[in-house]
Amino acid sequence: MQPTPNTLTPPPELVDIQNWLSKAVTSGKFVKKEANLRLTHAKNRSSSDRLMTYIDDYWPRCLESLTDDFPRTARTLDDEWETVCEAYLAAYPSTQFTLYYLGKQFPQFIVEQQLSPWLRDLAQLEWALLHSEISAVLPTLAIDEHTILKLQPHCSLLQLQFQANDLVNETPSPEAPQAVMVYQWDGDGTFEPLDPLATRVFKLFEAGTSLSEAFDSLSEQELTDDELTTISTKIQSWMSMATQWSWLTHYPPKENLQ
Amino acid sequence: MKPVDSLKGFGVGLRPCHYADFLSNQPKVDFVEIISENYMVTGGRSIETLQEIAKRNPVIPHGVSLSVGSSDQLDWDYLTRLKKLVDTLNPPWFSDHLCWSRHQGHYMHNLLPLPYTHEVAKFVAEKARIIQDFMERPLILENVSSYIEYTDSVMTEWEFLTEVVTQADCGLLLDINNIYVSAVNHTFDPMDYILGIPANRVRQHHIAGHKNKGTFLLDTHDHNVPDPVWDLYRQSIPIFGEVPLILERDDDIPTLDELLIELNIARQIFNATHTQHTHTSA
Repeated sequence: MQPTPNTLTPPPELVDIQNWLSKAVTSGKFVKKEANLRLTHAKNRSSSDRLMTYIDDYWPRCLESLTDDFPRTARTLDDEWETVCEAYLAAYPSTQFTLYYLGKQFPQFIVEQQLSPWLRDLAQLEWALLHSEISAVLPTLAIDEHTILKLQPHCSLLQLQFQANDLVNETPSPEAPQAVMVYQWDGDGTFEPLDPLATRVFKLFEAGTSLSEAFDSLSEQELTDDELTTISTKIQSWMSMATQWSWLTHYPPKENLQ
Repeated sequence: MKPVDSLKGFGVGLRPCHYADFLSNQPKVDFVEIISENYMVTGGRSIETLQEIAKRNPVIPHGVSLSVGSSDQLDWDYLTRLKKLVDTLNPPWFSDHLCWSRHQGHYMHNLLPLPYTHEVAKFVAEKARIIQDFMERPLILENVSSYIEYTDSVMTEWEFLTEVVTQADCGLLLDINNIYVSAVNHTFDPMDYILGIPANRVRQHHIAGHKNKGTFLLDTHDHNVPDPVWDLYRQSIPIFGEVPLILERDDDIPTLDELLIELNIARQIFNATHTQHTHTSA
């Protein structure tokens, strides 16, 4: 059955009350006089006290969810964590039906706020790990050289300024750029460092390309003598990794790629 | 999946901390209930585990984000994902709350009550009817605990609930704890609520605990079911008869064994009251 067109007109008083209450709950701000006009008192609670029950629930619920999703970022930001979360929710109110996705734009927000490169990498890696755990692992496919391939929904290719192990172990260290593939393995999020050449190849798959196109493109690029002598072994090793850990699927994927 | 045409008995809300118990044993439950949205993601361990558990136990999907009372238009992406989950589980019905939680595309992640007016009832009933038609399966709506009442309301909550489910032609998931919590918070007699709704539309019960905050009760699902809620359940049995029941626990969750002991209290209360009532009626 096809979805019915959106033709329902809500009663104006419903729109009005939901405009007011949604703002009050998400911002925590309301005018007492208006609360008295819109809400009734209880025997031992004023309308404002009653409204506070919902306001007091919203913020801790969102904060707890973000803290669960970004534990290392939260510890690193320490006293600033709540302020950053508050600003994030103001900039990116939840548009998702589940709190699983509340932090979807958080790494982007960290970039926008121009927080430290360490925090930018940490938030990016933590989200990719979480994302990998709630994303589809599509069936491993037979790959021939002309099949258009794409990264699986559970995979994220990250270009970090710091070593991923230092980030997850929360060991501050000097900048040491590293590319990693974050993916789901046995239900958990994990990652694998990639050398620069492998990163180039998997970036092509990220956009959707065939095996032959990927390696044609690679051969058009300038390779060092060392890379040229080992390229064949490397290709076998990357494809073996990709197959073993289900990194690739057909393009376009048949499943939703939320 | 285990096909389910109808449902009877007593079950619990399935929570990740009990996955291992459900996978390694066959706990004594007649069915389980899941939070639908937790399984509407595209993959992961929870989905794989649910598929295993659903082979052995009937599973009812119970949502928290349908937001049937929202003045927003229906979210077809959400409904399409929900339908996929529901069709996989093949339950006799699916449920969500008579409330709103989304406005202008933003989620409050809470179950907010509606103003009880005839116009709102009509609007919500129309939405519920469209949802039910799209899902091709009965929708049952749950009464929520609430902490505010609107000055715009022109009827009681149970009159509003009756108007919505009657116009939408859908069922009721009657949460006994929610009635008790709202009755204390808004000072009404919970038996007026129970006697005021159409008994023939009640398809399922919820029962749970709450927190006493001094001046009001908060529906937290983090305590055992308190005596006044068990009493209310006992009083509802002669009115609604044999209705499948889910014991909900969402915080400070005990071991499954402990939870099943509490579930057994519901069984005992039902058996004792139902038998007594049957004998009295005869």
